[in-house]
Amino acid sequence: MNLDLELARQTFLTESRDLLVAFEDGLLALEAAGDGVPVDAEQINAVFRAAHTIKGSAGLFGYDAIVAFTHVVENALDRVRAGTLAWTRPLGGLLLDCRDHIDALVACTAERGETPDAAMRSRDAELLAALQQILGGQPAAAAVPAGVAAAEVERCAGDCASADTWHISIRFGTNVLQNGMDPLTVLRYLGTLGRIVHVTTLLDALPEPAAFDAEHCYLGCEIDLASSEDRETIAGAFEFVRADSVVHILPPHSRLAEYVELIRSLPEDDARLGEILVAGGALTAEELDVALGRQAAADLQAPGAHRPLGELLVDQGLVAPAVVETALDKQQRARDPRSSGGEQRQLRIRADKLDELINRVGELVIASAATALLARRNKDPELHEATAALGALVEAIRDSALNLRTVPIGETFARFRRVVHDLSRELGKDIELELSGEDTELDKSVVERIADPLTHLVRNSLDHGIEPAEVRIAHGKPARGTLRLDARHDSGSIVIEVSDDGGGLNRERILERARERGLVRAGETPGDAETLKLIFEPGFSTAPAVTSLSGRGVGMDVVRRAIEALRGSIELESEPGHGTTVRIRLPLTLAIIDGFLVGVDGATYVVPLDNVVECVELAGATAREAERNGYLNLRGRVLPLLRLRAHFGLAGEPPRRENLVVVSYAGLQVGLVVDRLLGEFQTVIKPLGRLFTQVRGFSGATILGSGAVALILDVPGLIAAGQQAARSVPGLAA
Amino acid sequence: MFALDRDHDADGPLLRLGGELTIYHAGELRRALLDDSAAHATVRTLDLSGVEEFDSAGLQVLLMARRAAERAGGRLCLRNHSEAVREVIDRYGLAAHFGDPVLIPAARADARGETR
Amino acid sequence: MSKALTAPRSAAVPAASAESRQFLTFAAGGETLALGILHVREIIEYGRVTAVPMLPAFVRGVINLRGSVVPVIDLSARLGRAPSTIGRRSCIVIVELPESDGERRELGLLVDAVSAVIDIPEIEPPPSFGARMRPDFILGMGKLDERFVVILDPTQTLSLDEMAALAGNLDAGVNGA
Repeated sequence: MNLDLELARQTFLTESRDLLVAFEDGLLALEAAGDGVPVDAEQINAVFRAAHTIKGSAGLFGYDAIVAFTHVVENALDRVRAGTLAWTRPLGGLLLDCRDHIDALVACTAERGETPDAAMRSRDAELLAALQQILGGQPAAAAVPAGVAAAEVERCAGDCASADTWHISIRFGTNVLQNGMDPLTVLRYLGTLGRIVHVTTLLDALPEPAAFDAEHCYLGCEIDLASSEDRETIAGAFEFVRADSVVHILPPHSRLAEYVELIRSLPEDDARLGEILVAGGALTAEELDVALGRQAAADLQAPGAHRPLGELLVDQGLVAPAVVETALDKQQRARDPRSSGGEQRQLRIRADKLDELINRVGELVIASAATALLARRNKDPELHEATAALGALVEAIRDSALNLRTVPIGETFARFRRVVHDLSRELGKDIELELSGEDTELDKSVVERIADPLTHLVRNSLDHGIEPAEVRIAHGKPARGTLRLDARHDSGSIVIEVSDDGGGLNRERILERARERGLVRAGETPGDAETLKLIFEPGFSTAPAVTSLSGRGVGMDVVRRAIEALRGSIELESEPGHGTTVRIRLPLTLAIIDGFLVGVDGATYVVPLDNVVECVELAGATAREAERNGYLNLRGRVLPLLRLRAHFGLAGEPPRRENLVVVSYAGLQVGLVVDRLLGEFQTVIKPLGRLFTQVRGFSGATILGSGAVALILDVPGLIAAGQQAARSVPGLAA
Repeated sequence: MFALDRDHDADGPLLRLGGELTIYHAGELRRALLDDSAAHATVRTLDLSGVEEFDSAGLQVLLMARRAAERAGGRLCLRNHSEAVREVIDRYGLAAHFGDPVLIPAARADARGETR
Repeated sequence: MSKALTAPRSAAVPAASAESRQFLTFAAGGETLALGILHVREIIEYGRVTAVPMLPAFVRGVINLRGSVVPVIDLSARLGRAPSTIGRRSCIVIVELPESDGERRELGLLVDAVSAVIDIPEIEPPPSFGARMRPDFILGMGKLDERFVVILDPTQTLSLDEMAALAGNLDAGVNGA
C-alpha cells in the first residue's frame, strides 16, 4: 500500500511532463529565431533548467536511465549556454529528438515501471553518439569542473575552511514522511553524488513520548560530502523535501563566516554544532575558534540583534556565485511564470482533493434545494426568502468550485507548435501557426479529451487543407500557409476553432463521394450546409482514395464522435479557395448536466437535455397506435419506440396515460416511453463506478433534492440496445 | 504487514519485531512500543532479526521507545539487527547513539535466536 | 499468547495486531457470517436504494452515501442463496476494499441483521468441501464457543472485476431476449 510513494511518483510524472513541455517550447523558440543569431539567454536557461531538474528528480527516484541520458543532454545545453557550443538547426533538431527520448524514458521507467528495452537502449546510444559528435569528442563533463575551479579560487580569497568537503545541514520538515518522502532517500541519493564522509543525526527535535506523532518527521542531519558535482546538482537532492525542510549547503572552502552564520541560524546549541562540524571534518578546531571568536565580536557590536541570514550574507558580500545564480533564477521565474511551470503563482492540488470538494459542494446544492422545498411547504415568507438567498450563494460557490478544476487551453494549443513544426517539414510546406484565446479556461477533464480530436483536425488541415506553395502562389495567395487555433467562451460553452487559409472543401467531390457511398440518393441535391456535414458521416471516408480529395475527410466521423462523447457539437464553414473553419462547441464542464427528469415505475431517471427533442403525451389514438406497432407516426416520420418499463424488465402495470420523450443521437430519433414527465433539473454527475462499467444504458448517476440517487440514461447506449433487440426478434424488425 | 511477538529469554521478556517497520505501520508500532506502559516497564530487549523493511519512521519509533525506557529508569537493547535495520542506522550514523552491539557476528545471533 | 497468534496459518497471516483479530458478525441468507472489522467502515439503516435495472439479483442498487454513489450488494444472493427480503433489522454494511489499482472503493452489503463485533482468537482453515458456498469466498472458520462461523474473504466475495463481468453478461442476455 505505497500510497504516499505513489503520490510522490505521480508528482514526478506531472512535473517531468511540464518540464518537457518547457524544454520543447524553449527549443522551438530558439529554432524559430534561426541560425547564427546569438541565443536568447532566457530561453536556453529555461531549457537547461528543465533538463537539469528532470535529472535531479529522476535521481531521487533511482531512475538511472533517465539520469544518465539527461546528464549528457544537460552538458550540451550547458555549453550552448556558456557560448562554447554554437546553436544550429541540426543541434535543435537533435535536442528535440532527445526530448522525445527523455519523454519515452519517463513513460517507460517512471510510469510503467519497466526497464528500457533493446530498441530504447539502441535509440539511447544513437542519440548519445550524435550528441558526442556535436560536442566534438570532448568529454561531456569537461566544462563543469573548469567553472567550479574558477569559483573556488575566487571564494578562497578570504578566511576559508581548509576542508574540501561540502557541508550540508538539513532539518527535515514535519510533514516529509506523510508526503511520501523519506529522508533516507535523500541520504542515499547524496551518496550517489559523491562520498558521504560523515553524518551526524540530530535528535533534538524528538518530542516527549506523549506528543510524539509516529508519522511526523523530527530528524535533522549534518552531512559532510566529498563531491565534484556543482551546487545545483547537490541542491537537487533536496528537491522533494525542500518545501518543508530547512537546508543549508556550504561548498568546499566556504568562508568561516558562512559557517558562523550556519551555526547561528540553526536551532541547536552553538557549541554542540561547532563540535559536530569539527567531528565531521568540515572545520578544524582552530578554524572553529577563529570563527566563534568572530561571532562573539559581532555580537558585541550588535548586542542581541541576530539579523536575518540573507541580509547578512548580502551585506558582507559572502554570497557564493552559485547562490546568486539561484536567486536570479528565482527572480526570473517570478517575472515569467510560463518559463518554468510557474510554481510561484500556482498551487498544485491533488485532483482527488478537488473532486472531493466538488462532491461536497454538489451535496450542498442538493441540501440547499431540499431546505428550500421545506421552506416553501411551511409557507413562511421570511424563511423562504432566507433559503432563496442561501440557494443563490450556494450556486455561486458551486460555480467557483467547478472553476477551480478549469485550466487554460493554452497548454494544449502549445503542443501543436511541435505538430505543425514537424508535419510541415515532412510535407514540405511552409506553415505558420497562429494561436489566440489561449487563456480561455475549461474543465481539465474536457481538456484531456479534446487533444486527440484537435490533433486530427490540425493534421487534416496541414495535409489536405493548405495547398503546396506553388499552388498557393498560382492562386495569388502568400506562399506561407496559416493555421489558426482559437478558443473563446460563448454563452455557457466553449468554442474552439481550427481554421486554415487553404483551398476549402470541394462540394462536387463530396457529393460525388457521398453518392458512391450511398449516403445521398442519386438525383437528390442537399443544401450547402448539409453537403458539408456529409464528411462527418461514418461511411464517408473509409476508402483510402479519399485522402486524395482536395478537401479533407480522413476520419472526420471519429472526430465527431469524440466531440459528441464530450456532449459537444461540431460544425464546418468552408469557402472555396479561401479556407476552412471547423468550429467545436463544448460544455464548460463534464461535472454538471442539464437533465430532464422522467419517472418509470416509481423510480426517477435523468435524460440529458441535449438529447431531448420533444415530449409528447401518449393518449387516445396515438397511444393505441404505439401499443400496437412499437413505432409511431410522428408528423409523417416513423419514430421507433423504446418502452423503458419493458426494456428495464420492471414488473408492475404502466399508468393509464404514458408519456413519450423523443430523443435524438447522431441523426437517429427514438421515442422513450415513460410513466411521467418531471421537468428539467441541473445537477452534478456522479460516476457509477467500476461495478457498472460493462452495463449499457446508464452513463452515470446524480443525487436528487430528496437525497435519492437517480440514474442518468445513456441515450446512445439505449438506442443501440433497442436496435439490437429489434434485430434479434424477427417479427419486430420494422 | 508488521508483526509483533512477545517472548522470553534469559534476560527477561523481549519483543520480536518483524515485517515492515515503516511509515505505513508507524502508528501501530508506536502503540505497541510506547503506549503500552506494561511493555516498556518490563521489556528490556527488542529482537530485530525479522525486520524486512525499515525506514525513518520506524527508526524514530525505536528512538522514542528507547528514550521512554530510559525515562522509566531502564534500558532498551536492540539486538539481532536485520540487514534493513543496519543499513538505516548506518546511513544516519546512529550506531554509536544506540550503543548496542549492532553488527553481531552471525554465529552469536544464531545462538541467541535459539530460545524460539 | 504468542503461540495462538502465530499458530495455524503463520505463513499467510503473521502475528496480527489486536484490531485485525476482531470481526463483525451478521446474518445473511439464514447463516451467521463474519467479516474482518478492518474492512468495515460503517453500518447504515436500509433505505432509499435506487435499483439499477438489467443487473443480476445480487446487485441491489445504489445509494447516496454522503454524496457518493455506492453500489449495494445483496450478500445472500451473491453467496448463491435467495435474494434477501427486507425486514426490520435489515441494514447495509459499508465496507472499504483495496482495489488492484491501489484505490480503495466503498461497497454496501445488504444483510438481514448485524450481531456484534467479536474477538476470534482461533481461526481454522476453511473446509475443503462441505461448506454451502464457494470455497474461495471463505477466508477461514472462526471458532466461537463450540460452533464455527464462516469468515468471509472480502477480496474474493466482493471482487469488483468478477461482479462487473457477471453484470455485463446479464446485461447482454436481457437485451437479446
